[in-house]
Amino acid sequence: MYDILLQFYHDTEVLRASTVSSDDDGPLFWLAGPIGAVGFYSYIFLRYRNTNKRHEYEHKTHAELGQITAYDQKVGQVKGVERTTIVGENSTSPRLRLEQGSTFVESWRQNGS
Amino acid sequence: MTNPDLPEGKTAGQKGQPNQSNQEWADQATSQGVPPDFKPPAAPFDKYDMPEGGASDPGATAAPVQEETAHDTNAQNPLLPNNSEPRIVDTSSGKSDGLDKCPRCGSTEISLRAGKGLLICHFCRHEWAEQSIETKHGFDAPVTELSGMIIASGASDIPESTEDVLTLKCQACGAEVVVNTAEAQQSRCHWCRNVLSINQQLPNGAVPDGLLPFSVTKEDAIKKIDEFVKSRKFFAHPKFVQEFKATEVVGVYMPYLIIDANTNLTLSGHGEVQTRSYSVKRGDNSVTLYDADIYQVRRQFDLAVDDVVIESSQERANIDTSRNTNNIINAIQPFDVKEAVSYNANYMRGFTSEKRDLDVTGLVPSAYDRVMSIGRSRVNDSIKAYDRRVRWEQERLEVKGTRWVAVYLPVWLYSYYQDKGSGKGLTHYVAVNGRTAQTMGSVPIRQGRLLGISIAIGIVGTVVGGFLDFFIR
Repeated sequence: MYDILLQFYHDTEVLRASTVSSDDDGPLFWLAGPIGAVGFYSYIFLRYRNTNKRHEYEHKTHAELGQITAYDQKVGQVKGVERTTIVGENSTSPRLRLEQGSTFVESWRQNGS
Repeated sequence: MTNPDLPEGKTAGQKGQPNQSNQEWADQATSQGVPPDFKPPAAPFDKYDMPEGGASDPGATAAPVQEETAHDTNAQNPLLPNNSEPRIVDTSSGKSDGLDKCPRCGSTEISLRAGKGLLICHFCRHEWAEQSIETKHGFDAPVTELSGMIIASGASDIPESTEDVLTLKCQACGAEVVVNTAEAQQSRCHWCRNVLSINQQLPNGAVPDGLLPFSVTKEDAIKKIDEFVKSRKFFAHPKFVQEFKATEVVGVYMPYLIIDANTNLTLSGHGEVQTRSYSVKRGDNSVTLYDADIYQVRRQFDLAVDDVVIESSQERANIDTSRNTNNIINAIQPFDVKEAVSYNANYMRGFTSEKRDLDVTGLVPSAYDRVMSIGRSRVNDSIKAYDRRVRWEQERLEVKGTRWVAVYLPVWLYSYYQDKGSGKGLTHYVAVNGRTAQTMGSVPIRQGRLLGISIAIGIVGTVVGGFLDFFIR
């Protein structure tokens, strides 16, 4: 129980800090209540039920890369955007397929080699 | 910018004989080898044909000629252009008498000594291990040399009409003994007391190419499960707390397919590199804005993936946390599958097992999807210069060769059915990896207590926060 309370204290400290810095009209400390309640419920639920746990095969499976070729060409600029990442960023979501942009080819079946 | 941060009994399946029962097959099979009428799985990716010019890369290098190295009883010359169909590697034991004997004294009283992962003869105390499946059948050949589709015979397709119950003729006394392969791979002859084993590969998915023996003992598993649950008792459902008994844990061999893949992956998209950040005033607020250069990005590389592990039981492969807790069993991976040994039913004595009911054909899309994900994950080392990250728009996986092996992997499993009323319920698992002792579980929650304390936290936080707001302003 102690470690749960410790984690909860840490979470609320982070939340409290973010509510203060995001609004220049003044602090919104009262938000710590509802945010804390949802955060605590979610934390305990996941600790007991572990519905978010999966084998991270994309990081833990042994794989070797070879003959890497790279192509990087500047094609434009963006100015004055608020986003901290490129629109549609998906390089940190390796399991996410690209729908029409995903192609699988069995060259051994086609070439017979 | 150019190249930022580049890192340095008998055998197999009876496909084509849907009317032939396992029993007939077991009776008729007379020699080892590949079924003469084996038909390969159909190409699974017709709908994903590469569009013309869709991912051409002027910088791409030609794929080198691949050379097949696996020990294939149905060997073809891999350099000849007749390699466009899957090939079967016979991994059967060559035995068919139902008697897996101690190599020293001939007794059939054999079981697993879990602490060591060795077989032990109860008669003469001789201890031994079956040969590593990788070295025995040449599955340790480099993945980068894989060409075509190689399927170990234990992973052969399962015909639609399969039977679980077989009658074995005891070769010691001639009696006929029934074995239900859905639940066990052994049965004792009621006349001569010999233990009869399914030591031939049946085309019903019950006998894999190899298995990983349990090395974590039941006592250790009980301790792990106990610790896991005890640290989660405060918000656990009271009925669960009352009924929980870690001693009810069961050792289960779960069916999986292990896949090696020799591929080439091409990724293309756009990435951004930040050139400036600055703050501007908008009304009374201050906002941070960014300038960035946009780059077209492409990466192409050979990708050799070793030992992708996929659930080959339809029930276990269905991971839906709103309906089941199969993710728990998935989460205790990885297993040290390199240590898998050739199948011997004596390893399973005292344990239960689940039968494989998914074929290679059905799992090809899932396997390729995983290989693609692994490649996407690993390529991130070469795009670190893009501090505003990359948006991939095209991904193309060219599969040059794959190898498929069916195995049983060891899991200590505690299960608890939570009745939620009106016929609804959920089976919660607490699982322990039978090799590494990694533990994961799902514990039923006492919702009333959790909701009550969460709401109390919410009220206290709001009141205290409100006071602070009032006084600070």
